[in-house]
Order: sequence, then structure tokens, then C-alpha cells
Amino acid sequence: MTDPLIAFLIELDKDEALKQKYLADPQAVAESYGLTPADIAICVNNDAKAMKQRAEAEGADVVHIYHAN
Amino acid sequence: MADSPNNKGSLTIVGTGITLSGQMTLITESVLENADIVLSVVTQSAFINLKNINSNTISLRDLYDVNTSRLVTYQKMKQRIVDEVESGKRVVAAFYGHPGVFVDPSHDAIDELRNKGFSVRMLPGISAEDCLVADLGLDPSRFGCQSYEATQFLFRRYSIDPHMLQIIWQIGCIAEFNHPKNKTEHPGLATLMEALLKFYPADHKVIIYEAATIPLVAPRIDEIPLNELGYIVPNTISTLVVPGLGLPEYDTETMAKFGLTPDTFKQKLSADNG
Repeated sequence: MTDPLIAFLIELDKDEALKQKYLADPQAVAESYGLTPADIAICVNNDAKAMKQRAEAEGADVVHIYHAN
Repeated sequence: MADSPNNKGSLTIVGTGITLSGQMTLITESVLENADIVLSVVTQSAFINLKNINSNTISLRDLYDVNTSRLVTYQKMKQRIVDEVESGKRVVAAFYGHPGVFVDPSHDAIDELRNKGFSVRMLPGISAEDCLVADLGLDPSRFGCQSYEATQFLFRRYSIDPHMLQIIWQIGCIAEFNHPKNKTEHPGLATLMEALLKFYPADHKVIIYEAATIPLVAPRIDEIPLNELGYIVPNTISTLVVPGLGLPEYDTETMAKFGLTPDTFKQKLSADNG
């Protein structure tokens, strides 16, 4: 089962209307997505570190590059 | 795209953008939906988004190993992609950002499969550079732009043109050949700083940049003087941006071949813009 916080962030990332609604009332929108109180706190407090950790959104291991030739 | 009448398998390489889901193009989403199999090298959260689009999505990230050379890992990724296409499937390989930027397996798989007569193509995605231009408001065409991977920049005898915007990628893993994470020491930054100080004044403002990866978190945009570069703590996705010193002098000899002088050129630009 998908982590509800991740599912919520995925929706927020591609739905500008939802994002604006969230920014106007983070608590209510986060609750409506069934997030736990702890996850609602992460969103409402804009806890970037916690969100990145949960989303594992670094993307770092895709990078590379040593062109030897 | 190559025709492959005798080979049913095909490959489309796509980029998922830098964020979780919102930077994926419409055509990318469509080819993902219609693939027999999706092989992905994206973050865990972007992977969940891909699984929502096509349930037969497999992550190749387990091929990463801190004890294995990245080149070996990329070779394994390429081979996995090639094998699936050769088995006759419509394969989509999805990479983080733009699939042709900082991604060897995508180019390698396309080259090999094209030579074998399979249908192959790459669709563009939103890259970190695209985000950088938007977030920093720096137009790479204004003064010109030079862009390098940090280790390659240091290990090769490049010629910097300090008038141009410099974009130096992966400053958090200089001279790292495996797959480092959570490094606490970055001695390569001091070397990079020394290299740049040959071209820029010590107080020249540079920017440590990291594109936003999730919707509620802002990008990292830290402006520092160049002579403090050796003391910052970068992440593996950090990029160094060095704004240019401005436009160089006119090349009046070349201008004369077009019947122009600096003054007449400025007048032309002014008239054209009016």
C-alpha cells in the first residue's frame, strides 16, 4: 500500500488547484487525504527534512559521469 | 526512429522530471501507460507514481552498490534494458530528470539497439538545468554558458571563459567513483575553489543550487562569495553556478566583415528591438 503522505505529495505536485487549496488551509486539505496526525504535522509545519526523507526525493544516485574517452 | 520489421521489441527512453510527478510530459505519460514493461531509475516516490501509471514498473536502482563502480552499474542497467527489448517487449526506460542528461545507460541502450535494428527513441524530460534557469532567472544565452561535471572539469584542461555563465554539476561527489551518500567531508571543493579563483575575484558571488524535488519545499539557492566555496556542505545533487563577468569586448575585425561597428551594431539592435 502506498504511503499516504507520498500519495498526497504526488497529487500536490501535479494539481495546481489542489496546491492552492492546500496553501489556503493546509490542515483541512491534509486531513481530507486521510493523513495521520503525525503526517499532517509534517505538512502543516512544512518540515522539509521529513518530507524529503519520506519521499526519498534526493535523486542523487541517478547522476554520474566520467567520460573516460 | 529505426524500422525494425523483424524485431518486435522497441525502446522508448523517457524522463520523469525532477519532481515527484508534476514535471512529466503528456507524451511521456502516454507511452508509460502503453508499455509492456517500464524499467525505472528514479526516486522511490517517483517510482510509486510510475507504478500508478503502469503496474508493470520495475526499479533498476537495486543495481546500485556502494562497492561497485558506477560504470559497472550503468553497464548492468543498459544490459537489462537491452535484454527486455530483445525478448520482444515494448520497453519504456524511465530516468530521473532528462533521460539524456547525465545518464549513460540511456544513450548506450539506444546505440546498441539501434545497431541491432530495433525501434528506439528518446523523449525529452525536464532537467535540473531547466529548473535552474527558471529558479535563478539566468538566461544561458545572454552571456553564453559553459557547463561541466565537476570532476571532469577539474581533471581535464578546460578553458574557462569567465564572461560566460558557468554551471558545474555534482560538486558533492568530486572524484568519487562509486555511489557515495551522506558524505561529511568534501576536500574536492577546495580544489574547485582554487581553480576558479584563477579567473574570478575572491568576492565574486557564486550560487549553490539544488532544484526543488517535492512540491512544498523550495529549491536551495545559497549565494556565497567564491572564497567560501571550500567550506560549504553540498549534497550529491548540488550544483555550483558562477555568474559571468559580463560580455567580452567586441571583435571589430569580424564585425567589419558584416559592415558593422560597435556603434552601428548597437543601433541595429535598438532598431530591431523597437
